[in-house]
Amino acid sequence: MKRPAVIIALICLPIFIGALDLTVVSAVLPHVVYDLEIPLQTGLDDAAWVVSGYLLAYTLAMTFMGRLSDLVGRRKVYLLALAIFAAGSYLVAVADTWPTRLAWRIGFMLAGVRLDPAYTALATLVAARMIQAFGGGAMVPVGMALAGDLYPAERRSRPLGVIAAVDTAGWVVGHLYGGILTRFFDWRMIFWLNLPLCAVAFALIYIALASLPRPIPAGQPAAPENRPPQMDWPGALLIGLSLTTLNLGLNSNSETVYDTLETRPSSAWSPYALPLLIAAAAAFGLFVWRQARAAFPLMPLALFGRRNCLAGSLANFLIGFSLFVAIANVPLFINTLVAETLEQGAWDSGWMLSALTVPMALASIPGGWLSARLGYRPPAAAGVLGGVAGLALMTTWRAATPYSTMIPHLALAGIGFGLSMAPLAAAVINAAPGEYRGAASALIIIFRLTGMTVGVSSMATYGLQRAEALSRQWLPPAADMAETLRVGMMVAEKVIQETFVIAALLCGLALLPVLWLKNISQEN
Amino acid sequence: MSLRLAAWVLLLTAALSACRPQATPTPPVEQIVTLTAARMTSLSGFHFVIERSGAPAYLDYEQTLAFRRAEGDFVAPDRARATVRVIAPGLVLDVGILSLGERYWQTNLLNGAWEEFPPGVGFNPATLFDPQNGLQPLMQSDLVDLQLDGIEELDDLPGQKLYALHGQLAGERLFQMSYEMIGPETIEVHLWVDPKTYDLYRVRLTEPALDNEATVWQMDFWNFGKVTEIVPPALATP
Repeated sequence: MKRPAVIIALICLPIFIGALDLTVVSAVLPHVVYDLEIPLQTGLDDAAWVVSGYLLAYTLAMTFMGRLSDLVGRRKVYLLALAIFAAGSYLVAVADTWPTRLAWRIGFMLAGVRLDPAYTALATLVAARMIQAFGGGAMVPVGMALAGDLYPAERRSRPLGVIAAVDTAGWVVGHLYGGILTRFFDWRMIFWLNLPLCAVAFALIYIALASLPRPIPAGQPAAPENRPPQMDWPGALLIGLSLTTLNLGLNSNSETVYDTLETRPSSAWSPYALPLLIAAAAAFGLFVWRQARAAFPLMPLALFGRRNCLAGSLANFLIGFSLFVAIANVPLFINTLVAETLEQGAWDSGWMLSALTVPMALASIPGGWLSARLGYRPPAAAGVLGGVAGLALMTTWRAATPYSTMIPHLALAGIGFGLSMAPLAAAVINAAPGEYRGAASALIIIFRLTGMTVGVSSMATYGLQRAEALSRQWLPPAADMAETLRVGMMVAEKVIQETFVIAALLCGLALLPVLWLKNISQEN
Repeated sequence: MSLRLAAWVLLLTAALSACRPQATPTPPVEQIVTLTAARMTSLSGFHFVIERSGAPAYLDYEQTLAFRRAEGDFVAPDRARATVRVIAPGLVLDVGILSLGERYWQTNLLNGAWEEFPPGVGFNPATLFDPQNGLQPLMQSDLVDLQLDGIEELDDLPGQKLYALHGQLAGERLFQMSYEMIGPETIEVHLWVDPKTYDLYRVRLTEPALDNEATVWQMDFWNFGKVTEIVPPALATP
């Protein structure tokens, strides 16, 4: 067998690219929306799916692909995930060409409908992003499980930490990478570049994992007492259904805002928002019921019986929500109110977001160190307060606010989020019994990603509803183009401020589970 | 014996060829256009998509709003509604338009609220497809140098055999009825027409190239004869 460290290094490259693509579009989304000719008023909520669809599929893959690799082998599942990611990257790069024409033709032949080409291109792009995300998300738990196979228990934490750090580093620098590339190339280049990297990684990992033993030796039925974990497919299906319908339900309200041919005043609620949200709750209820009964649950409910697991997961969800509001709002603010061209918007957004994410990554180091000495609660609470303070300062931003004023606000929020990450992760993992440590590690990422996904969906809906209400209030009848644009900018400024307020409040709410944590220092 | 067999074979061949449907003779190209224009004029309604590609065509004198596409319904003689997609610097916008006789409404770019405007203030498909003064009579009167290219199947309309014709159209009148976007120079026209019903499926108008890029307009039609309910918008804000 090859050296384990080499294998870990090899599998980290695709994990990094997959995580990079989580946030890579946040800076370039306005560019993509314009390029695909998606109308601003009716298409912005659908365009949000380019981000939230990726988050959703990434999260879903994480819930069960690690378990699948227990059954069919790490090498097979990892390489399959990598191939899916590469195929998704290719489809994203060409989404508005032959896949759009194919989707249009399928729509025409099956339903006799002639779809709007721009929306067909967007739907194809979202589908391609979800394929890409599924592969990208699957690589994380399979990689972590692989680390478990390669290292003995006492040496496992280091490679697991490396994989988690690489995953975080990817989405921390994704927007900057996207912004820089879009400055010099077409946005599709971001995804074309994935292909040679994936091809090289595929070849090397194929060779490196060749001698890896299967977790369950082929042809040997395991003894009942050593029965290998079974895949909980119903559980995977139910959690998938719940997360998908939740996002669809949260996102569907914005569709009622602008219907250009609707001659009646629009209603505030989409007729299918509530049924979707009820379906999400029902599927989640069934998932919990299933987890309580399954021999090998995806998410052992016993974990939530432990105070720190539950409190840490709740805090992670709220922090993920707030964090992603900041990640989504900064490019929106810059593109709407500051930048004069889409290229400048992508470039500036990429750099400005680094003022949030780089301090966040750096602050996670003292966060871990403080947590070991003082216990989870002090650094996590300080971090949450830092996040709240940073987000509160962001509510003061105006179109004329210089970048030099915005940077310290972003840095403060970043330091806060970073400080809280390590203590919350440690609280969840250390509260889990030994056999559930892997599931607990996944919980941290899953709850944060779910918070992010819900944040994108709900804030897109809220933002569009508010923008419509405010513009009806502020725009004089028969306003000319210049007046319309002026009011549009005022509305955007106000709505962005309000979403920062919501993010700050939810971040503040995270203080409750944080203060509920049992304050255990690892030194004790 | 062989003579009787030969006679049977001849008889059978004659019988089989009699059963085969007779190939409809292709009418003269002028007749196709006349029948097409008459058919379109007689329709009580249809659905349309107008798409512009190539060089931009602007909706305003400042040249900030370029027309990209319009999709909607026309109900004879003077009702239309459509979603018009315009491209402004850095953003794409949809505008709803609705026309009922002399009355004309547009949605506000920012909040989607309907606002009434005086007639003639914006692009109006009801003017373009007016059965008396629109594209339909124009096809009959202003199309010259007509040629039939044959029967074709369009890539995006699989299974639909259509007459393909082309000719030239003087652009002055089209210029007036298209909110001064199409024309006024002579325009190259391609038509695709159903050989059985004479429904016009597609019109492609190629304007002369300026700065090496021509503006191409493609109009697709379907739901022939369908009358869509087009009513005045409720102007009250919710």
